[in-house]
Amino acid sequence: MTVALSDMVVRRKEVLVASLSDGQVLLDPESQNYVGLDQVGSAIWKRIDARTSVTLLCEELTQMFEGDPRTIEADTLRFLNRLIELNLAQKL
Amino acid sequence: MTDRFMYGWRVRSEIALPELTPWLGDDRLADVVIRVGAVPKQLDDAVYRDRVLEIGRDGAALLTAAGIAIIWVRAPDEIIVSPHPEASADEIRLVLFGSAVGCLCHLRGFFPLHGACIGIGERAVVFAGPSGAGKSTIAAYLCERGHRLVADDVSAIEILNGVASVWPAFPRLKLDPDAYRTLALDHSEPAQPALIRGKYHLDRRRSFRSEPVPLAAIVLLEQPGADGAASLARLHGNLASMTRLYADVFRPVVASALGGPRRLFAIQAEIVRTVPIYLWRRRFDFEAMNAWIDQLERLADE
Repeated sequence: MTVALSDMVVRRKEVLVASLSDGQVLLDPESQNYVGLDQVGSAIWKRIDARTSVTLLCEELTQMFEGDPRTIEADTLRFLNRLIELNLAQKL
Repeated sequence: MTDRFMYGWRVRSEIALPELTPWLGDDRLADVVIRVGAVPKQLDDAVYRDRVLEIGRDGAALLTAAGIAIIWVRAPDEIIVSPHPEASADEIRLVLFGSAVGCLCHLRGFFPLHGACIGIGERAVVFAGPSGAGKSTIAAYLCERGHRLVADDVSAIEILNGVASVWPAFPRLKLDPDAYRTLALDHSEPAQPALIRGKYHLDRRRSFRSEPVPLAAIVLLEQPGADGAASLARLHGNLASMTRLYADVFRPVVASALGGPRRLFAIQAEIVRTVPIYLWRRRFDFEAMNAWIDQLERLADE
């Protein structure tokens, strides 16, 4: 079930989100787990509110953070896989 | 019958509630009515049940205090009390003002922190922590320093016009005899306070006010570190702040039955966004505590 660049992803609508001083906190109402996101995580979370192509997402993040595309791709895939593992987002 | 004030509510009660100040607000209908009457043996739709507490699907609570009373928090505006024939009025009010009112705070949409709240100047500080952490002792000490009691056991937070504020509960402070003696309150009290179920009940109505108080800080009480060192430090990190705050909610089982953290999430986030949270590891040494208290007084005044 690992997410690849060719996949589409979307966040789960049931998850509650609070924007705080330096990022966001998510709450999965089912597991009652809280998850903290830093600024980069929050930027990804905001962009997957609807069905989103992982490739396009990585391109946008590369532009936004002006980093090495390969590193950003690897970090983004790791982050998306973690969200899916925690049942906060899903692969389509 | 005089209506009384509690947590901003107009309370009409068939049981005398001398701890509460009279209602001096507008001419609204009673927000909460407390009656004496029959209560069910159990809640048919209970989503939570233990030896002393049942929570219904709609958030109603049935509390059993053996030999004292069974109290049915039936709806956000109604409490029904079935007293045990041999219970004293003091004991019945003890249960009513404890768990029953805490459940009502949940039902009425407050964020009920398990903690004591003190008004310092025009703002308030909540001292939260588990039973025995010293919340009431610190509250009593601060009252001795001229500050005013806002709440003893359950601090009810509501966002009012965008500001996290605490509703004054009632002017009673419960203190164990050791703390009472340590604080040497027996010299300053006009009369020996009532001793009910092992705690002195202090009346602090002289300085009590009924307006909600903007929250300046939340202080989470902890035991000192392994080295015995004391510290007062700001809690950083959104995630830590959100989880720690939820951990100190009064009777989390009630929050869970009412929908879990989801129900409190928005107000919890607003508190974390706008109110600094501190961790206070300390010993019961009032001399050593004074420096920290000075610091807290400054925090509230900032």
